Amino acid sequence: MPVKQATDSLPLSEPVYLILVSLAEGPRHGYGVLKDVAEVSGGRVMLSTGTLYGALKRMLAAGWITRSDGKGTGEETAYPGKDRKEYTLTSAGRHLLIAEIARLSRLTRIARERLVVEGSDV
Amino acid sequence: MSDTFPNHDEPLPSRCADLVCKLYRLGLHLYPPRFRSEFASEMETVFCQTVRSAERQSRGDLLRLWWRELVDFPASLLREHLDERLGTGGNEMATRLVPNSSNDGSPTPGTWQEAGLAVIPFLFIALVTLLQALLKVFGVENGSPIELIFMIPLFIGGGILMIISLVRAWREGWPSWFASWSFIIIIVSMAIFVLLETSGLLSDIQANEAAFFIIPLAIAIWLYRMARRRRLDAILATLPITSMLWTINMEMVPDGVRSPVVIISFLMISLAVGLIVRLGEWRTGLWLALWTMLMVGALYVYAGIFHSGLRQPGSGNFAEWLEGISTQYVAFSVLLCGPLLGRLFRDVGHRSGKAGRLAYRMALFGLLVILYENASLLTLSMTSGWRPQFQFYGLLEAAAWAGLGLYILGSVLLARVAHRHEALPDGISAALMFVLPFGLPLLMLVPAGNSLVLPFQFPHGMVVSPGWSWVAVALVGLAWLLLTVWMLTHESPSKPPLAVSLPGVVA
Repeated sequence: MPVKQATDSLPLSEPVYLILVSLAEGPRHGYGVLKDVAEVSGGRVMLSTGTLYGALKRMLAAGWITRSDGKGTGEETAYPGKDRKEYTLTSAGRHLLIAEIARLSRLTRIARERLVVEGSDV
Repeated sequence: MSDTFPNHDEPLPSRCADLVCKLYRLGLHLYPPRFRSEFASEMETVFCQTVRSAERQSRGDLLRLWWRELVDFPASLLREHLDERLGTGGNEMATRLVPNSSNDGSPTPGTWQEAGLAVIPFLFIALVTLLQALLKVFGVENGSPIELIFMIPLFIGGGILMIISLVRAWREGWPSWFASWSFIIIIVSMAIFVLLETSGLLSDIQANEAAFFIIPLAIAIWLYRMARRRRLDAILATLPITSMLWTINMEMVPDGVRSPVVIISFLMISLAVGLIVRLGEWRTGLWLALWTMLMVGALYVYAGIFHSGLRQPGSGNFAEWLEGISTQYVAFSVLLCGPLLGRLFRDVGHRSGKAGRLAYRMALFGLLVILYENASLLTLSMTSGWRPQFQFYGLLEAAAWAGLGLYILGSVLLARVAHRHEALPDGISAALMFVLPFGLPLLMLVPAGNSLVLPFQFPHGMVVSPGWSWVAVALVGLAWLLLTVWMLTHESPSKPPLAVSLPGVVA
């Protein structure tokens, strides 16, 4: 049953997938996620602030990520006093990401096999 | 990681960037209050940081950023407002996995100020009733200039207070204390229908159709939605509505008895609502609401039975009082427990796979029909001109019976599937979920012996149906109520949402 639940929430939308990938490396602030998503997608996916926080809200509600106060690394912002929350992938979020990777890998494998049969080398 | 923030050495933001940030901050006020209080400050920080970063890159980057934000802004606003209105707290993707997005299991005690705000409408009604009674004692007639001198300022003050509270509640994201105000919205909407009728914009039948169909349906769906979001809010919203249902007993009761009963009842409701908000725990709140409903009902039925009310003009004894209160109490309590039961169905259904989701939807539909029918009594008690004459009546009746069938079928199926998926805390809960659904339709069948129009007159019909032992009805009903409340308050904790294991991958 739990496996069924995991597959129920697949496929993930691209922003959600990229945010999970970004957080897979470790906890990040919102700005860090924004930059990392742009970097990981080769500059193709540039999330707006509204989309990012809408997605983070829903991911928090789903239990895929958690939110905590920033660790206070001594860095200063140009906007002192403002929130600097840190987002961390939960074990549920990690499992979901793994399930999505497995789904994408399977699709890639099938596509590759079919292309090989047709004579193209991928 | 790349989530570094600029240090002291970086240049301060330009005037233009500063202006854009200020505009963005203003725009954030358009988001729903709850979302705003949670994320606005962070969003502003991140947005301004992005603006500064783009400004350092190139003018083109800056323009692209503004364009992206500008285009996405309305879509984000709409999405968040829809989420807020639908009470999902997350989109379909998220709720499919963890549907119970509002985890209101732990107490969230309100402040004394919030408790005070919650009781204002009830104290206001008690005050108005007291003033009217006092004026009558001093010989002031209804509608006389002297009465208007007293009443008009009171109602203007009440209106202003309501608007202020409404604005405050909106700014605070519709907090729990405002849930108890909801019955005022119902009264206002009914008053609008009455006004439309008296002004000639709606015919007598149209107004009755609207009052009998639209308002109860809206109440049923709305209470369920509230329970889905926060169970405490649903209890606070339902308590005054159930109290209004008792007013059907007060028809024909002289003012000398009516006024003290209304004043004492609303003071008791104030006390209960204040305590529920202050405690902030829905299980205690449910018991408190049931107790208050019983006390209020006892007073109303007393007035109806012993003081020439609608039911027994000129007569009355203890057995009739007991009959009146026990049967109506069971019927009205459905409105209080129903939305919570609907939420339980939903939570359990989502933990029980696809079959569970289908079963809970069937059961929920039937339950909403029952809630609708109970709420329809409210309009019956508040609109004197109702007659079962509107054209869709037969269709509605058929739909109601179909709803009952779906309710039984869905609940029984859900109990079976939930037990198999271990979605209920223990065997007793599973057995109760299997047995309890039969109790409600059984009670609803009781008035059939009286060939009354069913099922819309259920609570009232049950009271007067001959050939049925009211003691049996009351006992079965009270047992149903107690077991339902027990099941509601002993739901299982949420299970971990995911447990995926893939070969060759370490989670």
